[in-house]
Amino acid sequence: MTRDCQTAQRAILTEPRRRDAIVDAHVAQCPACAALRQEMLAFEATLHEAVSVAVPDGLESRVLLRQSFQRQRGWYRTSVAAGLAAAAAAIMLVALLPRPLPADVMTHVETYTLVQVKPVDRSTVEQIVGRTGAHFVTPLVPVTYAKNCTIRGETAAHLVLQGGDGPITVFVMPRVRIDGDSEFRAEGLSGKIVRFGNGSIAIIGADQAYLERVRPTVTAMLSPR
Amino acid sequence: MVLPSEVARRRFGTLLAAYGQRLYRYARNLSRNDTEAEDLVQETFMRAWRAIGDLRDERATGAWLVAILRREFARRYRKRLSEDTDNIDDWPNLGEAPKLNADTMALRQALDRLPLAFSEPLLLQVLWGYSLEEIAQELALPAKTVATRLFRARQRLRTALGGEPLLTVIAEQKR
Repeated sequence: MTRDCQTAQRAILTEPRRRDAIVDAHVAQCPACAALRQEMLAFEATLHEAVSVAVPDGLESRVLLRQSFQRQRGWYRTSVAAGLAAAAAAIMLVALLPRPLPADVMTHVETYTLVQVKPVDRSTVEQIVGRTGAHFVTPLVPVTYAKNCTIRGETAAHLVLQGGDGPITVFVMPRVRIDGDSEFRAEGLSGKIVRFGNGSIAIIGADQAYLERVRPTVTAMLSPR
Repeated sequence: MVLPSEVARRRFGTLLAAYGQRLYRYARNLSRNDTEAEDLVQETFMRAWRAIGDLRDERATGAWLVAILRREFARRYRKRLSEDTDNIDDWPNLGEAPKLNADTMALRQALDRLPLAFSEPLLLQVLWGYSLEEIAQELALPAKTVATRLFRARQRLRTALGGEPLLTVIAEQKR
């Protein structure tokens, strides 16, 4: 077996349908590799048939039906939320009170950020956290989302970490001062805002017990410098 | 980003038409259960609907849906996955009565017995046309590991069909 045969066979056995000029050229003049490719392509056809299971009738209609109910609920929520927002805006205008910090951070939490699965590379996370004036020490758990945002007029880092029991959203806010640690619940999630150097960190997840468990990990991953 | 409702509805309908069937097949092969597969697809599309305004790159749509489904699957089965990755023969399966030839049927049964570590990269390749590098990225694995798993997956499936192991085939052809 030549080195070209080994290269061709490795390619054929791992990606049988992939066409590659070098492999194709070798197969054209090597009967053994050509036979292997032919056999693997026949196997692939059976394999494709095997994975192509029957799709149940009406699947798309049932998805659309469920989505229509969700839309309806969304409309209701939007209306209620719009009403509440308008009322809140009026009250704020009158009272000239700043929005509570939990409400500020929750405006940045979106479903899209929670469903990411690919880890963000370490240097990007270091850069994002670095822009806030803090320091990313070590990735003890995977970071699957990292972006900068502005909270209370200060640059913050919005991170999503993958803990054992679901995603944890973290806002690193080394320049946003707080009077003391606090807990909150909003939009079906639990949150905790704790001191971090002279500023603060918000940790948001499924429930307070989970947040309490992951808090040491989160704080060990970051340093206020 | 919030889309105008008509635009969002149209986009969702297109998404469903374009990816619904393939996503179901992916879910069915992952979960090995018809009911679970439909549940997974429903949940994936509901999550996609809630985040549809965030979808910027149409070329990434398939990968986006696959990522949502994989995440939902992992969430539901995390406990079972951590307990026993290699043996899910005892998972409930309502079964089906397809009209398939004997080889295809045997291959489907062999697929259902294949450990997820092997079947997942194989499904991404066969159903979604992912390249080796794309699978490696999606599963957060080295490309060499993915290549090994793809090779072993095919090896096991061929053996289940009564075929010679691939390396034996190569040796035979070289004689």
